[in-house]
Amino acid sequence: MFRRSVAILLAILLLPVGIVPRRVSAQPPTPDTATPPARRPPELVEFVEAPYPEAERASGRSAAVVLSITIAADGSVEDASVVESAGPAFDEAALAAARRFRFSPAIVDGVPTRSRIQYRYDFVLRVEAPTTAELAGVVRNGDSRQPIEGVRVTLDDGRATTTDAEGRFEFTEVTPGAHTFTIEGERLTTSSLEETLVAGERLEASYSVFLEAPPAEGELTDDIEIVVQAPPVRTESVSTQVTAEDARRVAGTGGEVLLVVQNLPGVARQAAGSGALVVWGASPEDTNVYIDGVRVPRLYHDGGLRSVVASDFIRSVELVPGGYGATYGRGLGGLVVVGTRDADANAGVHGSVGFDLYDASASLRFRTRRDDAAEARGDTYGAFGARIGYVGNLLAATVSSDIEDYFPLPNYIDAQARVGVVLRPGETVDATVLVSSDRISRNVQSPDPSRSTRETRDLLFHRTYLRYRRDLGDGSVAQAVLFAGTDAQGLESDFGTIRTSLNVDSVSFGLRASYRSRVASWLTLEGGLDAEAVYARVTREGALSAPPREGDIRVFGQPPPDQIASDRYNTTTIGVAPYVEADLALAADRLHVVAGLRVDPYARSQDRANPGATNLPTGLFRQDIMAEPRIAVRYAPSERFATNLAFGSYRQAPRATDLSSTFGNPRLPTSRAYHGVLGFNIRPTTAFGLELTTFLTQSYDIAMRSRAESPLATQALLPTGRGRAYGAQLLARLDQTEASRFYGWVSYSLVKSERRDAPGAGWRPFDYDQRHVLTALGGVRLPLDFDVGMRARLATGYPRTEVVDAYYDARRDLYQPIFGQHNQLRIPIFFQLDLRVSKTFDIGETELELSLDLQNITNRRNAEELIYDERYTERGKISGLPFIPVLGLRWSL
Amino acid sequence: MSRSLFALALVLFVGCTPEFDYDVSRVDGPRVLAVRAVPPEVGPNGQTTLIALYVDESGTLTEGPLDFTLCTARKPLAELGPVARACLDPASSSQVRFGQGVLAATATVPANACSLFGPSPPPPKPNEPAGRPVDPDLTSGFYQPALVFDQENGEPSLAPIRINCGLGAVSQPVALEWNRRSRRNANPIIDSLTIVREEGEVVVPIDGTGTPPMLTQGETITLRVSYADCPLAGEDVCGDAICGNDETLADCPADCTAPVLGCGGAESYIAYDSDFGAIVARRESMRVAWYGTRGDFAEARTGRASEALEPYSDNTLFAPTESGELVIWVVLRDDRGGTAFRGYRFTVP
Repeated sequence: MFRRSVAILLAILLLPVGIVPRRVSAQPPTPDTATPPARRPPELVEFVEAPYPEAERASGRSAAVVLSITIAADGSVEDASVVESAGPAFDEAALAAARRFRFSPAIVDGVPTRSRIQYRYDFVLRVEAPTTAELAGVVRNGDSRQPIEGVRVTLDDGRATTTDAEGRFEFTEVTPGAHTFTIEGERLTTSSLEETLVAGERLEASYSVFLEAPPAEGELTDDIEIVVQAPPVRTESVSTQVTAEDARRVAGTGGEVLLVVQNLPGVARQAAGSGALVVWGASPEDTNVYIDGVRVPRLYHDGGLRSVVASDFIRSVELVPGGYGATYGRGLGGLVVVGTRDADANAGVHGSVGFDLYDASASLRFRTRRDDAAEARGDTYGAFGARIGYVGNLLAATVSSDIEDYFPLPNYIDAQARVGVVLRPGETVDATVLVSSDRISRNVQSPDPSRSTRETRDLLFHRTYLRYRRDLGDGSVAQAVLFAGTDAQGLESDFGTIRTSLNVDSVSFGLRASYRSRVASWLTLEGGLDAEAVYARVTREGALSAPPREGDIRVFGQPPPDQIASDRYNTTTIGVAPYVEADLALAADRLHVVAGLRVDPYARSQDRANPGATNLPTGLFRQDIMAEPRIAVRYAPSERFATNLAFGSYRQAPRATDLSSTFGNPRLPTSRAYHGVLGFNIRPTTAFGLELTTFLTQSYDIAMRSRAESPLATQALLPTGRGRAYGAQLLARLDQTEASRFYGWVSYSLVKSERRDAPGAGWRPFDYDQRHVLTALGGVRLPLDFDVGMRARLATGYPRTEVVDAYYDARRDLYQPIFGQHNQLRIPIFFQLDLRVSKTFDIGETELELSLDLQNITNRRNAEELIYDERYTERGKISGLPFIPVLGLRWSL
Repeated sequence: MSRSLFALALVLFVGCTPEFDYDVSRVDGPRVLAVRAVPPEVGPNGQTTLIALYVDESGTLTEGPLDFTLCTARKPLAELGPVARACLDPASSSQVRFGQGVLAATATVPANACSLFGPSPPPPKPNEPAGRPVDPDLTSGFYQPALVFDQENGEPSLAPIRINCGLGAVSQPVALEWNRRSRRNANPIIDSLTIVREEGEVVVPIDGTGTPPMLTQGETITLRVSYADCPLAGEDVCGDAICGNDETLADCPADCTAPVLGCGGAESYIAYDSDFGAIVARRESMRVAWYGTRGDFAEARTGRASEALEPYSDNTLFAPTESGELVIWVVLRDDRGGTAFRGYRFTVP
């Protein structure tokens, strides 16, 4: 900003021209002089500033006008004229100002005397010195990236404003320096932020906030979100987000929110009846699942129809296929982080009941408020949920008994309970219990006792954890989760007289604590500790190859070998991993560098490291330590485009079941992996986005079966395996907006995942290699509260090893297959089209939703597995789900 | 939703499996149906004769182009089949041929069989660690791979010989108990095959020993194969010509004086339970495989589980709808590698 410059009296020419031809001082007169001096030049006592001429402002030039000023004996300006012109505008301004000057008159012989002086008036156009600053910003939903209107922003000088429809707010004329301002609004936890403003500058920033659960009187939509993030750069990384409302509407999922994860890029299609989550070609066991930071053994119940935690209990789930930060570890593959619902914003009670073909469920949550409490201090809150699956029992009760011949019937139960208290605003502590139980059994009778089969699989796990969280208001967050849990996993199988038994009972304890602080506007630091101890008791009996493991060459339904062994042992594994992560925001927040380091010490003891019948020492203790660097870089030159790059080092302890001295190898080391990710994100409009992510993972020291004819007694498994997966995923997505009733996305994944069993061996397709997965889904809201959605999926089949011949085993009276090249055959391509229609009824203050999920409406007989005749001369397929209508009902309060 | 609608939906929920045309019971060409070892269990350096049941659509063949070999290749752990893949190659250097172009041949079990395929530590090989012995089967048995190759089509049949190797690395009391109580397996014996009708049972003569019984076209009959009714564990009776696990030469010389005989049915035997580190008593289950040149069986395989006491097994035969002769074979197997077989002929006028 330009301001008129003050024309400094450069010199009052002290030489009166003509009358007083001498220089005169420009100093003000000395008042109350006791004795007037005999001679004294006139002195300027009242200066008048001349405005910088508007006509010359555009030029911005400096100028000087030399004036001749005649001063009367009383000190007033009698006359003024231009001696040296700087132009008409400057001349006029200088004359006008000079004529209003006041002088002390010149003194000659002690008498005030008329005099004349020359005065140079300088004009300088200069920038006005800044004295204030401006603060502006956009408040967005941290999950959906949509701007939030109506958020109240209060500055510490008392001023307040509200965000507009685009989420924008602005404060002008703000005193420079550090300022604190608060953001508050409906379903929004009041947050206090701090920014430092510089005089004369305008600070513009984007603030992401997360909404709480809706108030009781609000819509029945909730704030569950599915976040697929690759890589997990914490600030605006390449990510895909799906609201729970949209997820529930996805056809083919039966309204189960978390099943939508299976339709996201990078995730392989699950085989029917499988709950395995295959991400970026990694083994399902290599992808860890965390709920509120507590590791759980699985995300889905058996059958893959439901998740182990009810949808109403979940706030968000984040799927990171790879390249994640230092916060998590102990896994070679991806990461699933489920966040449970926070306390409701308002006091009240809410609940829901629902049932469909698969199961029945109910949930209840509440928040109480003390009338005498200030703010939310002392509020208590809680949530309870339960679900019981009955599809297996119904099938067994209503359909012929041979239904179990080829299709295991799932039965599952899960329950959740939470009670918490708000210590003060932004500070909560709560206790949670999660329980999940799965049981699959089948019993196939045959007149031949060697062909009667019975199989039972159980998994019962529970987690109890105490969670503390404090939001310090300045962006700093401290949180800790202390947990304990038990897992009871069992497999009992009888194939004729051949028994297979594998039971793992484990107890785990852990602590996950972290503190995140915004050290500066450009630096956020997080440090934490991820500690976990697991005691596992393993009992196993049966053939070495039963149950089969990845890499085994076999066919579906093949009887297990009848050479059996047994083992039982206990292992204790302890890992205490500190980590630190720094998020550097550079280039005006356009460049983020997230650098992390995780140090993962690892100790394991085992009470039986050699077969029991030998005289060798029985105990074993192993330990090691490894530093795992992680880094992610995201560059977003505009809101329309971003690119990111990530790299990380990961490790994973061997599974307890692999540590058997008989069936495995108690001296297996930890496996290692490296992930590299490069991604691009283009968002032409706020509603439409395009994401492309490429990746490469390399795994080392994977446990594989020994290829030796006579391996050592404790080396049935060797860490000789290597793995690699690479590919790309593309996601084009249209979000639902106020202006559009449509939503949907198209995702395509190209993944090549391979294994090498031993040094010198060739690379082969990984058992879970699913080369192409294409998913298109969408929905539209119709009048009268109707909602219609569809989903189409196309996927490559998993690889299988072809049977090229067979021979007769006269002792066991069965044919044994002779295999061709490993995993060079594939299950045929899968295609399925699903449709979902729902209608919502408002009943008083409650809501009833009826839904009809029409799965596989083309009734295509997709192959789920390859099967052979008894002599292996003919190959057929086991087809999966035919057309199946799933009617659902959900009533919410 | 009503129960019927639920049932409909649930039926639809079930996946489908293919129907294959192959009928494992139908004999429509030369084929090895079974191989019987006599005796069925021998120790290292012991001799046993392998007898193949080789048939075609005309009946049991008395001559056959079969080659007999013993395979000395150990199976790598990574191979999940019962034998090493090298054993399926008749030209492999791992083959020791002991019969050529015959239906029966006598093999001598190698002296190192218990090291290669039993509980003794295996001999070390160059560039490979030595150590892990072979795991036993559920009956604590070990087997020397033996192959029967059909010269005409090259198809191999695996006919492993049960070898008596003891238990390997177990405690001394267990080893002593094993040595005292274990009895070698005996082949089962088919006592009879009968046609079960309401008016009574008719014994079917063994093929070539009598007049074939007549069946009407399309007749449905029940066939019953019977075998010896063996004493249960702990119910040994001295003087029954069976030396039970709890009988010794001292307390029952009548039964336990060599040669010790076994029982031709579901024998009781002892096995080592490695999970508990103890000797346990078990009883064999019996399996019956049914084959025929014509007609159909209701079940290709029948049998009796170990806990079932009946010394017979039934099956239903649907006689052919056209006249002619029908040959069926019954193969009886126990859990320890013992085998018996018989052929029977019927006439359908």
